[in-house]
Amino acid sequence: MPISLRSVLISICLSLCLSLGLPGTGGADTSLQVNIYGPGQSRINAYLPAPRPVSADQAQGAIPSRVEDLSRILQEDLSFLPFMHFVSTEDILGQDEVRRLSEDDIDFKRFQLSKVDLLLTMKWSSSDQGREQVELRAFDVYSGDMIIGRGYVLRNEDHVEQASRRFCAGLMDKLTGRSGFYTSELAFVRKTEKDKDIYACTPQGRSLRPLVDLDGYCLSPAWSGDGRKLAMSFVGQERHELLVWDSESESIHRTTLPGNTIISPAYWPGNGWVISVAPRKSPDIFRLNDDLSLGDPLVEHWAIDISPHFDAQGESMVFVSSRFGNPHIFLRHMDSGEVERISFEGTYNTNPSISPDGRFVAYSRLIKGQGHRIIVYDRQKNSERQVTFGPGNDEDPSWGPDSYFLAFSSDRTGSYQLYVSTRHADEAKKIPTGRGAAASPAWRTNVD
Amino acid sequence: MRTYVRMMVFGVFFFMILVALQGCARKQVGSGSESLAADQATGYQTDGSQMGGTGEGAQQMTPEEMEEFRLQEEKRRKAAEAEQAAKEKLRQEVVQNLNERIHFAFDSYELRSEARQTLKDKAEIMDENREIDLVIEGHCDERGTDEYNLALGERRARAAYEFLVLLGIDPDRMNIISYGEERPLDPESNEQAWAKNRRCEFRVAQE
Repeated sequence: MPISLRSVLISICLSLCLSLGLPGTGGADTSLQVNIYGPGQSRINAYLPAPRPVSADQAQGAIPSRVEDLSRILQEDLSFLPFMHFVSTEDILGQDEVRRLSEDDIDFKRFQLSKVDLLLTMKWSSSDQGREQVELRAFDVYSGDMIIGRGYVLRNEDHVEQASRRFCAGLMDKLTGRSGFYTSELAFVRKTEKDKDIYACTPQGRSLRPLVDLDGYCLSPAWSGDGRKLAMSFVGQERHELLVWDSESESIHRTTLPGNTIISPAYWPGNGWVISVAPRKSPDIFRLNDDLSLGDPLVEHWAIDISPHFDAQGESMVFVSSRFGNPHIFLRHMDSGEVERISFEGTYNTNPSISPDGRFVAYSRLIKGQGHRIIVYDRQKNSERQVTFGPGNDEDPSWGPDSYFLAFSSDRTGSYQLYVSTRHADEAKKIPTGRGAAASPAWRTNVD
Repeated sequence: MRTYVRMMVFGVFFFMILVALQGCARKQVGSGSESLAADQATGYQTDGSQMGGTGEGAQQMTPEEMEEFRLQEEKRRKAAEAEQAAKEKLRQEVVQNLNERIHFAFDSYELRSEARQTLKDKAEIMDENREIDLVIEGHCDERGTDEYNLALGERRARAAYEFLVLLGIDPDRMNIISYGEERPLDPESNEQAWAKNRRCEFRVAQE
């Protein structure tokens, strides 16, 4: 028995030594790691010096504008990571020498003493006026290891934004194991002077463009599982319609449904579209057939039942029901049909969004004297916490593909705008979406 | 005998003269009838100008007669316009009465007593004006979410619809639509504005 125990211990030790010694390819082998799902996040101090030319011949010339833009955009995009904190050059030991930084001979101790964890470098070369080559690298200051290195060719402004997004996605993947924040897109409702239209942009507010512009109110956008189609309810002059926009053909399919009201379409993974309509007395939740005709009911009640939303596996559906007199959040287990109440506090809980991993339910609660606030309910711990604190109203929470980021709309600055926070209640950061109020963000995954 | 024959010849001659005189009189009356027929066949525009026809009768109308006819037509036209205006005014009053809004409490679609009275008035008007169909719009204040407010607006419109059905109005004469919080009556963000915006509006359906 003692021999056996000793053998087991030796085996474990050997396994540990081998696993630590073997080079890896993913984020797990990088010493600089951030557990975004842990109870307390790390804080990373990052430093990005000015871009440097590859050859000394170009050192005297001005930095090309696209390279300068990439440096600025890269820092802005990375600043959306709540654990990322950029250190200014003034806080680095030996500022002048830092400005002449060369990747071949980096004095990491200087940065260690300046409490920098992550060093980013950018080198550029330009063979002609219309084209720049850029090399981006990220180093773990304490180990001196390169975490990620990528090269990009810049020919236009779109390339600049794409280069930033791709590098950020790669870096976030190395640090956290997730990259969805930089490979996704948000559709949202933009209020114009006469109606409401659907726009899209990245979660960092880039590549802003209109998707659907009709004479009426486009509301509640929701992406299909593959991100190809976007459904929305449309309130026209005389009736409600269901619109489905196809991103490939850029065409709109319009249809009406029994009853007078069409509210809050959602996509049920593996099963198609789901919608709230009122063919009889009150809005209930129905599944739609492939031809968008009304299918079987999923929730039927005399009260208002709206706002369905599903996890990535399609196992759970959260929705709003006023069956107890006021709007509250409920969860339906799709296999058994059992309905579970989620919200108990307050008298006005709406806009539920269940995280793709199915663990968290975010929703908006009206708190007396304050306004609407975002609440996150943890199904594993059976507990909830407030993650936004106004001022004004915080509404329309929508989980990112990593079940970490949370986009929402808020009128804290006067008109409704989009913001992004995390399930840890990190400080909300505004997503620039241009003129006009913006609301109802909906994530589209795997854009790139 | 000779005297008797003379009297007979004289009588026949007298009768012939009498018949000839009667024929002339008939011809004059007949000319008058033809003239009247021509007048009827000739139309006049409301401003009195000649519109068409053979002109035979018009040629036979004197300027005084034409002026008199024009004045009569003008009078008749004004009377018709006045009647139409009165009908339109009545319709506007009906529409205005039908347009009267009803209001609701926060997060509620329950009909208050004053709302029920307003709906009773509407039912009476609709009963008297069966050619009128109604669109009932449900609206909410800006608080709350778009989706819940769409549902709440639907319930408000449906509450009014069902009450009117109970009062005997044909359901096929009414349609409902919810605009949620999209069309506020008062864009301000205060209690007074919110109270105004939690409402049902009624409009006559366009044919």
